[in-house]
Amino acid sequence: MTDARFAVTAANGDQPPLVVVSGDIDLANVDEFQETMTEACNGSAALTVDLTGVNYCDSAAVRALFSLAAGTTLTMLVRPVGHIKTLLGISGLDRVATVVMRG
Amino acid sequence: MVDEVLGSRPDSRVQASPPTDGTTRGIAAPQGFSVRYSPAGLAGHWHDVAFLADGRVGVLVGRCADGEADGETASRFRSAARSVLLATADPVRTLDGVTESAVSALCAVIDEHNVGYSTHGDASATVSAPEAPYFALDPTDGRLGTAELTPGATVLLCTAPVGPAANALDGSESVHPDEVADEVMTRIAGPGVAAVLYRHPPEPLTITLAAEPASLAVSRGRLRRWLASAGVDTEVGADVLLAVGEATANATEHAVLGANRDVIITVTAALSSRCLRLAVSDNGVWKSVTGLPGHRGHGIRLINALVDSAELVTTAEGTTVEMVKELRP
Repeated sequence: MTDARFAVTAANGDQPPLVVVSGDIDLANVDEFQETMTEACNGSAALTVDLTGVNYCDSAAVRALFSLAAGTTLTMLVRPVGHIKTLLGISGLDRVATVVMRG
Repeated sequence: MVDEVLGSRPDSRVQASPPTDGTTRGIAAPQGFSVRYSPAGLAGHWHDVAFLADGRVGVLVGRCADGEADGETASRFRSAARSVLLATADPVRTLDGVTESAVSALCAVIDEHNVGYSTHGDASATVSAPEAPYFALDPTDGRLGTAELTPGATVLLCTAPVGPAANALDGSESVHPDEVADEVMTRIAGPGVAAVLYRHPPEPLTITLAAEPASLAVSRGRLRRWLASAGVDTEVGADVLLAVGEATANATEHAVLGANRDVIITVTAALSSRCLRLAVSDNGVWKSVTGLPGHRGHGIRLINALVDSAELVTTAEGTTVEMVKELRP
């Protein structure tokens, strides 16, 4: 079974809400990923999603992130190497959201 | 006859002293090969991995044992042996010119089913097949030795006897050869060595699963382990996992729509001489790519960006995405 963990930190002053994701994301748990982000966002103008602990994600996750980026200012933290950076570049998600290399 | 020489140390001469950072992991090696030098083994040791014109791969390891002239002797012997190997593809003739007792060398030529080899001095070769104990190949001293290579076999070629360090090979067939080579080097005690570890292509992988989201992680885990056993570079492996994952997810999402039967997905992977062939098949009903808005076109575009060629074959029986990923060199 696809296993991911989500840790949500609420907005604090100037800091937008933060969702830290680890594990794998695919069709089996992408709905949970999207709901977690939507709830964390809770009408906030911005959201930060930390993907540095993600081992695998595919275009299902990209769709969820695109849909979120349509309604809020999205910042994603990703590792400077690995397939997630490739995925964001090929999908064009890096043109509608801010990508920050971390770690 | 000369095709190309790859996997050599960057400097065509043998280094006279260890690199200052003491690491040897960065030595480039072709698909399936890992090369390690122990820091104490850099002076007077060398290796070559060469693609021969007939499609086989030749490997040379050697060392010059003592004295100030080590580097020069080793360098002279190395270039002579490499020339003969490239010209003849014959391990025995390659080592014909080695008579110095201070030099130990081994030449191996690997084809689809066998390794042929010749040794001089105490350079060693060890073979390990899946689910069988490893064994050291006998020294040949001027004759040709051969050993069969079964799918997934590992061959360790070393400038000195490896002793009990070869225990690291037992049960290692599912471990990436880079990690096996690290483990061997950790266990080798005593004087320095140069070692070349080769992993023969494993049996092709076939995974058959129900077309449902829960199958994706199962399929991914098995493909990830197979890619490691095949010695596929980590970055290349990540591209392949994502490409196959996209094709599998697409089939899971779309092939079941309108299908009048339980849909089964089959993922296959095979390593041939210099490329990976991957296929994701389903027995469901795919609509044409052009008829689908957005996401599936996106998945196909992603697949095309990740592999060197991808083809979608649709029949009344279902759909297959066939992909090829070229490997180094």
